[in-house]
Amino acid sequence: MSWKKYWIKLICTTLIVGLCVYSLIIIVDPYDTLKFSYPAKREPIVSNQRFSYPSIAQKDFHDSAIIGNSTIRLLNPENLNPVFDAKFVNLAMNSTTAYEQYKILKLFISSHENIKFLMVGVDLAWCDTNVEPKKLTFRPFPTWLYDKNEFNDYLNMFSARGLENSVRLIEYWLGKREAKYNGDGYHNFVGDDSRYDLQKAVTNIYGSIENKISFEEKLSNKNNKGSSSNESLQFPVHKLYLSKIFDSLNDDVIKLIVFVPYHYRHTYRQHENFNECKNKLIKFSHKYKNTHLVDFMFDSEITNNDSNYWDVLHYRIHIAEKMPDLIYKTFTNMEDIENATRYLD
Amino acid sequence: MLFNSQIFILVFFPITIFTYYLLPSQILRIRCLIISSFVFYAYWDIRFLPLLILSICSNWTISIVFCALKKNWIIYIGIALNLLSIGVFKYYGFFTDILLEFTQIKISHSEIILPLGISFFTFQQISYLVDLKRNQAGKYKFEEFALFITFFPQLIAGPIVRHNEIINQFSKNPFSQDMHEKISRGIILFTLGLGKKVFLADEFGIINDEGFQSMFHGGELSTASAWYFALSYTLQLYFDFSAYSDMAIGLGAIFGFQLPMNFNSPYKSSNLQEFWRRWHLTLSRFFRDYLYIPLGGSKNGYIKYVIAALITMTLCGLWHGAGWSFVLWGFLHGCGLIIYHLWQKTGFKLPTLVAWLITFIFVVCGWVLFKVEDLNIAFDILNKMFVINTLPILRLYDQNLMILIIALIISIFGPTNYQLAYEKAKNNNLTLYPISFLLFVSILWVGGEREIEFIYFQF
Repeated sequence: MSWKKYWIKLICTTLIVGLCVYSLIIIVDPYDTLKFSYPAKREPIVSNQRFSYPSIAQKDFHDSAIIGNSTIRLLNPENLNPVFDAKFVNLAMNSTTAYEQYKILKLFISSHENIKFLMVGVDLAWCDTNVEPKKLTFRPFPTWLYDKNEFNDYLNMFSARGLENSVRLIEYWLGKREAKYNGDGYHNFVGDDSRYDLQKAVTNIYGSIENKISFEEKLSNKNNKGSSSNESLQFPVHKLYLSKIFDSLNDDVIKLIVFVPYHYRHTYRQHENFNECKNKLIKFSHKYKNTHLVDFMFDSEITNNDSNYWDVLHYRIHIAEKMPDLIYKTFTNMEDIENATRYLD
Repeated sequence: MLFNSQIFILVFFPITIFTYYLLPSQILRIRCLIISSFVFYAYWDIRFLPLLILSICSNWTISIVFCALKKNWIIYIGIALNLLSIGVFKYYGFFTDILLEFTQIKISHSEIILPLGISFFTFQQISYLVDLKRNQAGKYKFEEFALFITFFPQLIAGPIVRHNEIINQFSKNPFSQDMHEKISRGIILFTLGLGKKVFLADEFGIINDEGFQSMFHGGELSTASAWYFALSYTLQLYFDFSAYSDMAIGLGAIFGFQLPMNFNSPYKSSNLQEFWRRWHLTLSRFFRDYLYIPLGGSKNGYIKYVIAALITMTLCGLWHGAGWSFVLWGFLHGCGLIIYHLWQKTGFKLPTLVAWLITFIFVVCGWVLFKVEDLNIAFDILNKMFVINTLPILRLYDQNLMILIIALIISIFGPTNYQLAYEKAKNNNLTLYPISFLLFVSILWVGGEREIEFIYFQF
């Protein structure tokens, strides 16, 4: 073969294979964002929620949304909807930064006109004191899926991940794979509650039984309740992202800022940070109408009971099932529920 | 724009190469390459472009004025201006920090951004000015000079090309007899470099970044993990930078130009001098010709040699980055070279395997300083590498141990991509289909915003 024929054949072979694979990806449309794709039922099949949720966020049959981390992901829209008389979508994603939450919510807001409720699950991501908060994690975040520009979706589809997820969706169509999440974003990621093991949970929470004893001793001291705060702390994420979200919402949207029920051992470790974060968010909420703060993040019968938890961050499903009622009652009555929630004002 | 991005491979490069070969004259081709190089450079940040243009115009003007007046001070001004620009943009923060440390005088430096490739294009221009003064260079047309500096395959991270090895190629018609062979071998070398970057360098980067994070977020570092971390960075750095050079040389060949080789299996070296003859050849050559030899080299007595070696290598360290860890890294290599020089004089020869092992361990330890700019942390890692503890290897490393060993063997015993493309590759289907497949999967792999920058861009 001549060198001329060699390079022409090499380029043509690569282009032909590339075009075939690209055509397959855009016809299958694994992220459910393209117009001219094969008309079939698509469910979220990508385990990285950052790829799966942009399409869910744009579906118009929801009118309310939850954002946050795994610490609020267990709120099931099926439990929330009858209590709130709304159609919730849970857009909370594992280990997200405030920026990532802001991006998914921005997409939701731009796709919905009549929003009823917005629930922000506040944990460390919204109590980040870094002057330049980290925008992304090591998990891939496809910024191109987070806008209304379909053109850049086409440009970015030609990727190994795109091909892998197309194959997954084809497997789903063939009945060989199940969807990763419900259409409303919910997924019970902690698994079957029947395999819960309290001893294992205690180890997860404290590391050892000695740590548990020393923590309980510390709490028994009245001066050690973890109620102090540090006024000098600042939380740039509030101004950078939360205010942008709230500014873009109508006054009649009910905005719920929910401090998540971490196990108290976890809250206690950073209580000065969290307490000040609450103070700052109380001030922040005064700027917006219809904004309510519901606090689970304190020493209560929920948060100091080990049997309610898998680990310091993740509560069990029975707590998640109680939460819609507790949140609703707290904000509608604007008062605390003893040993469960506090209404912050 | 990264070589390992779809926008480069599927849009920018095809447009540039088709335009280049379709243009009817060589001067238009040169202008096409200059414009596309500016686009390539400005794609990162358009704010970088004025400095590059100013730098080219001022250096070319200086060369013209020098050729007319033949006064050495003109060259000195030119060199000073180049050093000033690199000093301001690259080292200003470092020097103000030193000032703050010793005098408590605080000067703000937060507004200065580091233009990409400044260390590379400044050095090319300094080498040209010095050669002019030495009567080893001639006057060039503006377009030729501009392309010598901006030619996009080598603009950001080398190879550091000398004027006399590239400018004379610009005037040659690319439609030569061996054009198709050059294009084919260029594509092969580019593809091999791309594959090396995407599937080796980036993967090792993920491993040692994750390892680094886990180490300093509560993870106790075992001796095995410390070595694992150091070795994976050693491989990442080599694969990453040599991949860039492969791609640059391959791209140059597709345009019909031959760029100098930059790597020649450096980890095969059995002494430090050999290492510097195999690692980043064009930088070693620059420091040798423009600093080490003018300082006296090795032919003017031992004291002069020691001073020349230490100054050259310390500045080589500083060239890589504005930080004490880089300075120390360069200084240690200077010391290593002096020790090797002394050793040679004894006439005693170590068995090759022992010599290789000592050299390799020295180089690996040096890379720890390169990766971890905080000296305390770097010393902690080095301490862990040599004070043996029995903590288990980190689990995440466990999975990749085999990849590390294979990559290490390839880097030590395997041929270079340059050898594969220029000596081994034949024009038959046996090479065509694997190369085509590698090109396809590499392009697919970097899609969806997955491309990762080259390490040497920070220098």
